Amino acid sequence: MTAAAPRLVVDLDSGVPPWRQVRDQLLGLIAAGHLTVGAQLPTIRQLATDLGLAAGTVARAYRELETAGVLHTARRRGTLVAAIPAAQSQTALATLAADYATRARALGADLDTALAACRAAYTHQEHRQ
Amino acid sequence: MVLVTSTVLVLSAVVVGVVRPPGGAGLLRRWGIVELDGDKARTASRYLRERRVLTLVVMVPALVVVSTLWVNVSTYELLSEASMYLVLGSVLVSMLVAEWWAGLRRPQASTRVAVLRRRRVSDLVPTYALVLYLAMTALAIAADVAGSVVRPWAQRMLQRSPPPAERERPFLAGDLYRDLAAIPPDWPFLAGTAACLAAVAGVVWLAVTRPMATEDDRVDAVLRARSARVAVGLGTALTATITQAALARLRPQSFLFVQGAPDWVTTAGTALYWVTVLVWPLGIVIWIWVTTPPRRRLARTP
Repeated sequence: MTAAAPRLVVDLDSGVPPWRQVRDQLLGLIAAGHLTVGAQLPTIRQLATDLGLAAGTVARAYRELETAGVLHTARRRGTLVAAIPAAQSQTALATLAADYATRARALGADLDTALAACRAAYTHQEHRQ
Repeated sequence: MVLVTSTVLVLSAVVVGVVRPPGGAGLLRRWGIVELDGDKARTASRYLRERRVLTLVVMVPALVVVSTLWVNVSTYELLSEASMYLVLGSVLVSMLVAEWWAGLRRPQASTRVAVLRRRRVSDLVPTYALVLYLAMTALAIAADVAGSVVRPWAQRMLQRSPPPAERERPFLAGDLYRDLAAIPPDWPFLAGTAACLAAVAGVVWLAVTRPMATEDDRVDAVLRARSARVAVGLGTALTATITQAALARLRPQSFLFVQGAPDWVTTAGTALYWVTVLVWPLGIVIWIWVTTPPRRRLARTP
């Protein structure tokens, strides 16, 4: 069994424009790792047909994500995930940092000690690579 | 009209009697979906019912037209080659209409679901099936073109050398000129091959691009794959029938007795005979093979 493909759900009664729902859900799926860099997305026409939306609606969501550098459209390969969205990765990093700070503080480490440990972990991983 | 009436009765019985939710469940089970519920069975039943009703809608008028136009055609002839064109062609056309109809259907609920996987032809039809179908199409076209090239050549050969005397070739002498002169043009075979190719390509393309039949992507994938594979299988069988007819029209046995014909004509005639004999059974075998659900492959389908 291969992994199930991620799904996209659009609620027309939610009050949020459909193109924004498509854009936000794609961003969320990419940030959460459900769609990895290089993953191929459906064509605009296929997604619009399946969701019962106008092609322009899906095209707008794709265009916004292309402008943000998250998606890339190549002629032969179609639309691909190009990068993890910067804002989303910043948020994820901030969450990790907060978690690390909480745990380091619980161990009684001050800021310099925590930063030194983090730097040492980075250096160690770079040496291993 | 007896044939038409009996066909209508049989098809009506099929349409009314078979397509209930258990029929849909059976279809899905054969295609590797074991976790069945009422919704999945109903979706598959609707899929089957639509296609069978449309087959009836297309086939019955075609039968009436054919039996009206060909009043003098014997039942045997109507049941043989012509009926293959009629039945396979009607099913193919009805599949095309059904996929087009399904493509017009848009989701009505306010909450809509899509799967983020790009659909391709290769997801629905294995490459070997497409290659076999295209090879059969190429053979049909080659046979049609060869017919249009060889027949004038054979006629020239015949005009140069008189036919053998009746006492020498009692069965062939009289037939030789008549056969060659009576053969109708090749273009209907070419047109039939092209129409079949267009219909198969249309069904496959619509099976890839139409909206999801259900939110369950496995059921949806099965119904798409079935449509595409049945179309390619039917197309192969129909093209094999056309190919056989086109090859038979080359009538190698006539050319064999043309005086002064090169030796290779005899060899080519023998080879052509065997290809003519085998091409139709081969088409039927490919049809069954392509249309049979691929259990192991579907078991891996998400």
